[in-house]
Amino acid sequence: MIETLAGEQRGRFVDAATRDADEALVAIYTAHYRSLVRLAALLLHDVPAAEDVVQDAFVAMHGSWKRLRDTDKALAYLRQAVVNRARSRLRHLKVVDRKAPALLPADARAHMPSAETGAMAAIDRAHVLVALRTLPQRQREVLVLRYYSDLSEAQIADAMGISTGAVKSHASRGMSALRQKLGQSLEQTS
Amino acid sequence: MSADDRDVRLEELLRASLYDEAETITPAGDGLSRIQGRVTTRRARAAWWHPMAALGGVAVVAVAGFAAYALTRTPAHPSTLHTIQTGDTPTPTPDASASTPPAPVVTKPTYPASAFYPFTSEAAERQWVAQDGPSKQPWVGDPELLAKTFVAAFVQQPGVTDVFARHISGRTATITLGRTLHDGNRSVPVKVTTVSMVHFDKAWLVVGASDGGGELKLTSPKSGQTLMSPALVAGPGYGVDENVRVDVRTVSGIARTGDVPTVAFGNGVPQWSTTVPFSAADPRGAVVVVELSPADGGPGRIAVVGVNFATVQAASYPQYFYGVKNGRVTKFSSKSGAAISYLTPPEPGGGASDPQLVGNNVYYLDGAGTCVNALRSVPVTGGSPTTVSQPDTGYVITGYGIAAVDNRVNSFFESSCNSAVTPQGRLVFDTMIDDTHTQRTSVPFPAFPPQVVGDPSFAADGRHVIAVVRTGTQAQVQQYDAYQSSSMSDATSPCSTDPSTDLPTATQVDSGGAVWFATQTGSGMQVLRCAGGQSSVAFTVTGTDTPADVAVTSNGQAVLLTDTSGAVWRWTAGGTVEQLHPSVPQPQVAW
Repeated sequence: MIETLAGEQRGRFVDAATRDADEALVAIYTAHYRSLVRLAALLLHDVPAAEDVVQDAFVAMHGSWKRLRDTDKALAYLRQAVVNRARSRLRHLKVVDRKAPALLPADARAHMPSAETGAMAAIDRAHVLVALRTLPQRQREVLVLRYYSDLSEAQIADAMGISTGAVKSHASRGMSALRQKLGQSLEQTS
Repeated sequence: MSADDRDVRLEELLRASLYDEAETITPAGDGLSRIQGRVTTRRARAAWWHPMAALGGVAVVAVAGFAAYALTRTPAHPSTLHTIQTGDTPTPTPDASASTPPAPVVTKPTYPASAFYPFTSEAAERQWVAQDGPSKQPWVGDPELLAKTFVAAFVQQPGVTDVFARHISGRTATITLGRTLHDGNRSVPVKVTTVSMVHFDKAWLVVGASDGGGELKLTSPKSGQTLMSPALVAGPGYGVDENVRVDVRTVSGIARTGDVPTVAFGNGVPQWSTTVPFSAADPRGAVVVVELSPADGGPGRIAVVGVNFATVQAASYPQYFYGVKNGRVTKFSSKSGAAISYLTPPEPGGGASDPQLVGNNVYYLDGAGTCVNALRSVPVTGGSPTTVSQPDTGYVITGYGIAAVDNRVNSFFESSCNSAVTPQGRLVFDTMIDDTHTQRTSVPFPAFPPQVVGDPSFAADGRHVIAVVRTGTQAQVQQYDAYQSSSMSDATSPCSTDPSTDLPTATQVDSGGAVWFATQTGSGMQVLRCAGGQSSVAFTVTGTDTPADVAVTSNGQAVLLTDTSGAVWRWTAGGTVEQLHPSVPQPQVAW
């Protein structure tokens, strides 16, 4: 069935599936855009680049809606697309080192609240973020998906395109590395 | 510190660090419009490319066919060979259309499949346009105003009015609304919901609303799903100690037929669910889920999913209503008005009046002589009456309301039997603090007027009381706080009325929080439904009668209206107004 839309889109071919895709796009955007941008930003350390990546993913999801046709599947698709595109962007554009200071200063202390505000917890967190940045990419992805997106091992495996065994391995190594890097401060602040 | 403790500490720290960092990241507000712009561009490119690709395919086939033809047959008259037909495929000809997409086939836009507010069909929208709706109700054409009206009137959360984000792009719009949360001494702005809309003809139409934080989600029903009663409503669990209220609504009112289901979850519960029986008069509506903030009791998260209903029929009404005959609480047929059975025993020298049905009990005022009465209740199946409350000495109860939340709070208006006594009346709030003790507070009305007329009625929260306060020749619907109001002036006006034309005389609140009230106008009686501060006429009875009582079913789908002469009318949503003919006049009824 061929229909046209009212208003400024008049004259363009839009079938029922496309209309569903339009509505799904708005609904999923509303529910998940911000969290996906944040996920991408935690992976990329670059907010504008994160927005680009997520917008790319949404455009691709819209194009694949006939196949997805389900919000949960679409969300899994978006996560996978975001992780892949973030990885691709890091690999090809090598933005990590250039862009990281914009979001996460190399000197974590520049990121901290003042001592007067009593932000010992914030100091710890800044240390954690700096330590996290030093991890290998896959370990970092697993930890962000696990501890920010709250995904299960199966969901992480799906998003990263790896096995659950590999997820466990990356998570274990990542946590071990973080533990070593933060060992002293963990003891101090306990 | 053990290794396990360190692991737990590290996990907590990592999670908190990531969340804190994420909270500092706020995407630019134009994300949706940028995505939609790219989708539109891609769609336009596809519209151009697809005909070209089709033509290219035909050309390839044509070339292949020509080659085969040339190889297998020697043409007798080569000069006459101009075209080769391949099946039903039309022969490409080198005309202008070969290099440009064909002119689009213009067909009528289709009404969005999941739109449910403020119209449920294309016909309704067209009728609105034909009746000059765009100029009379401009909010329908403004997505921001529509979102606010939707949350106030449909979702019944009038306090969610602060606009946090506004994305409007051609055919779609999202408006994020929130409010200020008061937690102790802090006032925190919180986003509560994002309303999604699509444009159709002259109107914006709501297709759903989501919790912007992404926590409150529904796995059932899906958007656009066709529901049969009871509706299964479910979603993934989250948080520690969460509570959501679930409702099924349509533009005509509440479709739910039972009490508002409240679901508690958290602490690792993977999924919450409940079932909601409903009877819908409209073909479309929505499942509304509201999480109330534990900090101040206001809405914290709202999710709304548009659905279709399996059957469309005029709303049903309860089989019975309750009135008074021969001084006794009596059950009547709602269909014919005929008396069926007595619920209370005969009372020589006294008698029942003003029955109200709450749960499985009928409450009523039991008179026992001049200026002596009490508030009593009797089971709907009949039995021994129980005294619920009594007026202060020297006063008599003239109207009352029972909180439907747990039946442990009641409110009544008492008038002094001696007009020289001050206060001349009181709006009393009785709260049962245990099985035998009651805590009583009141709002004094020093001298009449002003005074409360008709029955006060509790709002859905069980705390606020709606009452009609008459001041001389005018009257207003007022709201009092049962726990804080201490004077007549401690009131707010929950509904807009025109004092010059409307004279409210009776009111009742349904379980969804909509305030129904009857008014006398110059040409008859009107029953209005007020939600989110906005009133709309539900039905009208022409004539010169004065409304005496209005009884609304908990779902707001059926109303009984009486006048002071005891005539009774029955109205159902989606149906008509019909006068009943009980054997004796019934100025006050209940169902």
